[in-house]
Amino acid sequence: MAPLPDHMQSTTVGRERLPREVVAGYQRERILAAATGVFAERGFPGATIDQIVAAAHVGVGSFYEHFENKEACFIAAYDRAASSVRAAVLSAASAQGAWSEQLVAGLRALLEAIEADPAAARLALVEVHTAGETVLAHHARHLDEVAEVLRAGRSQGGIAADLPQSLEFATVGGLGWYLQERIAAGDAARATTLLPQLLEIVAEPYLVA
Amino acid sequence: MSEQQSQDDLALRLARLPPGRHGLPRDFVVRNQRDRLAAGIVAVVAAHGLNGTTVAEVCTAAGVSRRTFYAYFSSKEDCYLATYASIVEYVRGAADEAAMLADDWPGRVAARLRTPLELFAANPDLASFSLVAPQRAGGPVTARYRQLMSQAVAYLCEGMPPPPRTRSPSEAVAASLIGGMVALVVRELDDGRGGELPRLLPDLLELFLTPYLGRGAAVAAAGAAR
Repeated sequence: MAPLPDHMQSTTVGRERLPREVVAGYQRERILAAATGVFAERGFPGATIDQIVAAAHVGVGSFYEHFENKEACFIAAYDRAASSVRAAVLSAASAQGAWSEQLVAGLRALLEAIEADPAAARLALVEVHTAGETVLAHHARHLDEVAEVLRAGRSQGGIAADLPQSLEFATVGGLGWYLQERIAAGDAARATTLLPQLLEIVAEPYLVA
Repeated sequence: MSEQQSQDDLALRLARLPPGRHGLPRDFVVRNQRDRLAAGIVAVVAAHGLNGTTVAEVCTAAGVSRRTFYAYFSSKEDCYLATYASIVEYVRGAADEAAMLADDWPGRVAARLRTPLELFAANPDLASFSLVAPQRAGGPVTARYRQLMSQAVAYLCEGMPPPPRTRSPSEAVAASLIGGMVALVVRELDDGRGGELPRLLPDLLELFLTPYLGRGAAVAAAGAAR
């Protein structure tokens, strides 16, 4: 059998040849991807670090190089999910002109992200509630940010100013609750079909006379 | 029974009976041990959440032995769910009584919202136990909570006049109304303002009634509750 050409030979690039940060970053990402699946499947109380390292094919020592404990890992997995969704939603919305179009595009991007990664959605919208006070406070800050974005839309959308101040907080709470119910019922994989319902939930309070 | 009396009754039933020999009829003791366990789990779960609660802590708070605990309940979840069911039944009964005094549907909705707000304001532990803990527990407890919340819409809509006097928002909107109202209540509890829960009533009413009655009638009903 003829020898493989040079460029197809297996390389000798071992760990020692790659910059340490690259290896560490790759390993962290692998742990987070595995942790997302484990948390989504078992919930925070039921998930163990052993299950996470087994799913990630890394040693327990590697886990602790990146995360102090299970909670820190959960927060990192949450942030990984939230930051990609946030970027997708903001970029989709900012490509549109009118407030109503921004809303449609943003909600569609949210649902596409849920559909693309049901485990991450389950972690960030369902299991997050079981992960303890620190994680919940973290989650609450994200929700407040969403409520702020919606409230800012009041002026753009030419919306009456005499709505209750608590409206957007309630809308985000209600939206989160609705998504949590749907995801818990196994609907994450067909999340994009929920766009009309999401629009009703978010836009109707502004439009109803 | 007036609302005040029924609140006192619940407070009494949740109060501790000193352990030991007291010459009370066995039925009463059994009832009372269960009630003490109920009071115990309410206090412990309100403080630490269900996942942070152990059977031993519930027993200590209730002043009963582990043996007694397991004579009534198979697990802390079992004890939680039984206690939760009796609280829900109690709150529902009190809310129904208050609703009977109202003369129209918005008034009944107001009564059915005001009753738990007042009850929870007087007993913030009950609020944490019933609204905060089950969302954060996971497993069968959260599943039961989801079930109850999905029944809450139908409960509030009981006796609603038919269209065209009212509108019919979608199931999604109805579910989000419940979720939104609970989120507002939980925020007050998390921020330590459980005692001021009744102040939320006008906002909750406006939020809930708007999709059914339109903004004008909802604002009027909220104003009447202020």
